[in-house]
Amino acid sequence: MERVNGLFHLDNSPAFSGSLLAFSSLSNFVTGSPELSAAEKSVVRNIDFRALVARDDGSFRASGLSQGATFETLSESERARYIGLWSQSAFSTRRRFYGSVRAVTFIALYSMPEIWPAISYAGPLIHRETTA
Amino acid sequence: MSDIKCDVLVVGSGAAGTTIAATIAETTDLSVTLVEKGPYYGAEFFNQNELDMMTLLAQNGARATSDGAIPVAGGECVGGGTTVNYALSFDPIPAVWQRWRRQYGLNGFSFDLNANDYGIHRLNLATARDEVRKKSNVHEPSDLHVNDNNRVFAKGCRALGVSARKFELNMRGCIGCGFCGQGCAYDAKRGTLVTYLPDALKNGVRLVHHCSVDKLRIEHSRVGPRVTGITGTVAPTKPGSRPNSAAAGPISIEASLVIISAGSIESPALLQRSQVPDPFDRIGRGLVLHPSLPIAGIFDRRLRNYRGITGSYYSDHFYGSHGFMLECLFDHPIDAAIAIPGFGPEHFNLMRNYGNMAGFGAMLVDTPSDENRVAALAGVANPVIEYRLSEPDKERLRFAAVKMVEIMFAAGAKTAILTSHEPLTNRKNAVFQSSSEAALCSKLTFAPNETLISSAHVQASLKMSENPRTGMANSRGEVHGVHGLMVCDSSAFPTSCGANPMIAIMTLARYQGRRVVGERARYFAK
Ligand SMILES: Cc1cc2nc3c(=O)[nH]c(=O)nc-3n(C[C@H](O)[C@H](O)[C@H](O)COP(=O)(O)OP(=O)(O)OC[C@H]3O[C@@H](n4cnc5c(N)ncnc54)[C@H](O)[C@@H]3O)c2cc1C
Ligand code: SF4
Repeated sequence: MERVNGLFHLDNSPAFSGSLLAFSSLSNFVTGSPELSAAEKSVVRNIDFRALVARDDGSFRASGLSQGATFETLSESERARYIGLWSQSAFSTRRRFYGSVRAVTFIALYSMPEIWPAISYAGPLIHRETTA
Repeated sequence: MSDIKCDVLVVGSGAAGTTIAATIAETTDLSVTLVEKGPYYGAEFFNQNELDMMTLLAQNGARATSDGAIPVAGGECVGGGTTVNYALSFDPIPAVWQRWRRQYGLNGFSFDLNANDYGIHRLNLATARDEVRKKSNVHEPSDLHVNDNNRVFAKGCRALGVSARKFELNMRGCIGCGFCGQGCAYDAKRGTLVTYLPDALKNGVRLVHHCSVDKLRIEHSRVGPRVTGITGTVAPTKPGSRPNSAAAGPISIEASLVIISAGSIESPALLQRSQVPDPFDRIGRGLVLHPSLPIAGIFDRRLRNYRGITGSYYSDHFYGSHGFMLECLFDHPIDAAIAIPGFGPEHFNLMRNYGNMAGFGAMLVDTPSDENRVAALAGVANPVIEYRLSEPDKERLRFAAVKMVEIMFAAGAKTAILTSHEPLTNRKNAVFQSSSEAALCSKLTFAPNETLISSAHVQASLKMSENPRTGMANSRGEVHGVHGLMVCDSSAFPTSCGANPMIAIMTLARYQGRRVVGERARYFAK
């Protein structure tokens, strides 16, 4: 996450990066990817997602989710339904936000060598730390 | 403040900049400076790690159109796009240049090997092209590193009677690692980093990297405006880069001739920032970017896909009728994950099949429109890229999508996936289970940010045209009405060059470099 922040100068607030991580938790971690360590999973469990979806009651209603619910109180499938709305929203900005969050999440996630075995990716042929 | 004085200053060390700098230095004693915004990385730096190597790209890979819908990839390092590209090599297309000569009144640019354009011995595009091909070792490689991904693509095409042929590539001694897009760690890809750059350095060209040119210096006199140099900023050398020839800090460079080769996004932005006269509102207008639509397919067996040469086969079957090519490419995990639609468990379950996936894409030669443009806006750090797909182009992409799904199934895929969140089938996202569903692609709306279209071939934002109302520069690349300023890169093409552009751009640069040498008295007193 630090490296991703370094590249894209994201807002470094814990809530924001937390939100992003939560998104990736949603994406993959909570699906029980056995390749990730217990420590990584615990980071994900302690995330504050509020920054991302604070007071988005309208969308909660539109997705048929209980009014007044917060993201944390949703079940995993409700969360998925909620975020799924973004991707096909009539608002281009919402779709765009979805796209960006998704991209940053996947950059963070699929750059982790721990995840590669799960997708049968053997990684680089040469093994060299970059100095960048 | 560092100060440099030279005869020729080239801004940007990509396909065009390095080639023209080396060409001028090859046969003259003119002093040439080549400045590059990005670092000077070499094979020793490229580590095949997808995240680490995003540093090679403009805006670390995050450059996109202003609505966020189309990522616009570019290289930002010595070698520019040629350092990060897939080595797919297409000769300049004579019919395209003939059309430009007709429609934009261009002179020269003959394709006859014996032609002497501008009265200069053997100055013609055919000779320039052949020299570039030889230097870059453009050839059709053997089958040694053709991987399964390319094989199934060719098979799928042929099963449907769609022609498929092998790419020519600029490589030598390739080991087929599959990491062309992250910089070649073996110096096997013959980008300008390992071809014209060493030539240039050997012939005394001074390379200043980490140097972003902020503005052109323009003096106004009775004969009109004249560019006399640039001001810029040299950043501290990044770890991993080769050493620089100038200290970090502000820099000022004086030159008799300034050649802009910063690529089709940054070249027009530099002219705008510098307030180069633009009476007909031409700067940045009519940008084309070869919108590309990828497809993935899942097979019931492991495929060698991310190893081996990434692009070995393509099809120009629909080029004449619909103006697109199908090109075989395959992404590493990050880009693949971004291309696969959806998120959450559903997305991860698709990604679990990465080892069984195949991929290719359609690359469309887009219809030019003045509405599509690059603009440098005050207070905005990066150039703004405004681009909308035209209705006819959307229609052609729908047709391409139908054909791609059909080819994917003909190749043996069990599932085909378009990079779209549009619910075309009764499944979420654009996931297809059989060839009979291909026709559903004709429902694609291409609403921005719903279907991922990408671009890596920006062109035509500072067009050459003998008529100042339709282009910024004349056939020599000289900016209309301004002395001492030339444009020489992908932005100088009047429209799309009709194929993956690297070799056409380098051919143009070789040609213009030879011409500057042949017309030396036009630019230099000495
Ligand atoms: C990922 C990718 C894959 C591609 N694959 C292929 C392929 O397989 N085949 C093909 O034919 N084409 C391919 N292309 C396209 C091709 O590489 C480009 O079209 C070509 O490099 C453009 O050449 P250019 O000289 O116009 O600009 P570039 O090569 O982009 O060079 C411009 C240089 O100018 C520098 N610069 C910009 N602004 C400034 C400034 N203000 N001051 C100083 N320097 C500056 C940039 O950092 C850059 O290095 C690909 C491109 C990308 C990004
Ligand atoms: S595939 Fe060949 S040319 Fe490309 S990076 Fe690997 S060795 Fe270099």
